[in-house]
Amino acid sequence: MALAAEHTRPQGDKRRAWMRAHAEGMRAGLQRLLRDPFGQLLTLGVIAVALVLPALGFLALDQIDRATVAWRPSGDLTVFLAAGEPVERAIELADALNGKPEVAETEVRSADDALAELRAMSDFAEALGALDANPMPALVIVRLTAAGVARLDDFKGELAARNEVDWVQVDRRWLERLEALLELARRAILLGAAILAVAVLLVVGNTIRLEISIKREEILILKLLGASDGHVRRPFLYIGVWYGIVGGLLALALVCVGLLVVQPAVDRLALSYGAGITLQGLGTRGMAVLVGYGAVLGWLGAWLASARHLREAEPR
Amino acid sequence: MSIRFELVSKRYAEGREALTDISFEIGYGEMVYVTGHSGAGKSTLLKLLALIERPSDGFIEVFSKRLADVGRRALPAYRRRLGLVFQDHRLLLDRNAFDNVALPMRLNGVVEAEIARRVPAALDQVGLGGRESALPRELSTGEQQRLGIARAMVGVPDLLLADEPTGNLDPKLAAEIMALMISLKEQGTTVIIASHDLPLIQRMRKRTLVLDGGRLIDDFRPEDWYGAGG
Repeated sequence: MALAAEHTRPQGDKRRAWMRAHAEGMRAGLQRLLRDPFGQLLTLGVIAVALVLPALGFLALDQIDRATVAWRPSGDLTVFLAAGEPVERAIELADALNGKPEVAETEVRSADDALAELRAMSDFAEALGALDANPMPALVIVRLTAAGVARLDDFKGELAARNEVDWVQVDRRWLERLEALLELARRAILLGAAILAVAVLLVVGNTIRLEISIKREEILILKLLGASDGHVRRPFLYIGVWYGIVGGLLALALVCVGLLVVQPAVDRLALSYGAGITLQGLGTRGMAVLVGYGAVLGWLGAWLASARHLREAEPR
Repeated sequence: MSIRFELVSKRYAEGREALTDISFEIGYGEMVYVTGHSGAGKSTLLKLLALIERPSDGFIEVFSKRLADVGRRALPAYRRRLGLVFQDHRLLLDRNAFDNVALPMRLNGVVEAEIARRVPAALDQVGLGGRESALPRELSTGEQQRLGIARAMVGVPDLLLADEPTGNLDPKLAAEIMALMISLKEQGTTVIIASHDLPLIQRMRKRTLVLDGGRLIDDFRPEDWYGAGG
């Protein structure tokens, strides 16, 4: 045994120590997860389901939003002329409107154009063919400027008051209703996501509580040797983060599987409307948000659990 | 003064009085033994210094700071100035000897190159040279004890608190460990050793606080030892 002890105090570097502690915490957290991945499947599964349900909900809303964009009327107002008014009156009206500040542009459809469009867009082609005369009026589609949208009702009233005009349809109404419905669905999904987020916090928190009880002796020793609360807490936070990340990746996989399963049904639905719809995935940003959201939830669950249970672990 | 106890008492929740009206002072770089029978209060005294327990009455000052003022946030920094040797070793069972010894220096932010240089030397000093990769369960009780001693000494603490550090060591090894602690003291570390190994204490001839039933009944100074030894 050598007795020549070295008794100069080693100097510390707090910044490097902090970085090293984080790297160590990250590595230890991942190792903990990899040591028994199948044992963690229940926790990971709950996190994945809690993430995938709101993700699919938002994805569905996004698909509806995209689909309705394609089906939306091309103008903000459709001005139907009185029956029997020739297309020339429609052209005159369009010319008159084009100079107004409320109007961005106009488009004239003759009665024949309107009938042809109706035939193409609906299942009534045969019924329409049986008619003796064209029931469709000529019309002017008016796209509004921001100023026009701002005084939509007044402008609509002015148009409706014209002799040659039979009826003015505000094309935005049904869209506003749809948007209100989508907003309602969005809020319902947000509420569901919040409830599921609480479930994730509880599941991760419980897992971390168990980890802390397993590591209790080590925690006590670390505290005796002068480890700060942050130092002791760090590996558990990283375990939570890794749970969140892996749960997020599982959720991504489930979203992909979900889209593959749903696509044939969407194809059939789209075919009946004569449209082609390809379901959009989450995209790079969406994927990053999903995994990041999982990581944040995992971190928060771990933080809440460790803040409480580490405080109770004091050496005696 | 490095350490000052002023009428310190410690009563545990169950009503047992472990220490009663203890007062003493220890200078910087002094080496002091605390001895007494089992239950005399030796371990409690060390626990008070390590802030594992708080006194029921009186006050303790360490390095000119009242320990009552060391709150939860300041506690880790205070403990990082200490070296602790436990009766039950308190080793991290899933980390090897190197990592166990390196732990206090890592907590103090010492760079890895320095740790890599100091840890093998510290292990060598306690007779565990070449056992860096051994896990605690692969070591004998005596080796585990020496590993705990290496961990306590490697960072050159301001205050070394050792609870029965030679309890599982043969007399030759115990003497060598004591020599190491003396060399640490000579570099300015205050060393307090709780032990009931009276022959060892008599051989070392250092200042000795004698506890009995939680009371300080004697405070032998080195000069007393030399006087007693004739």
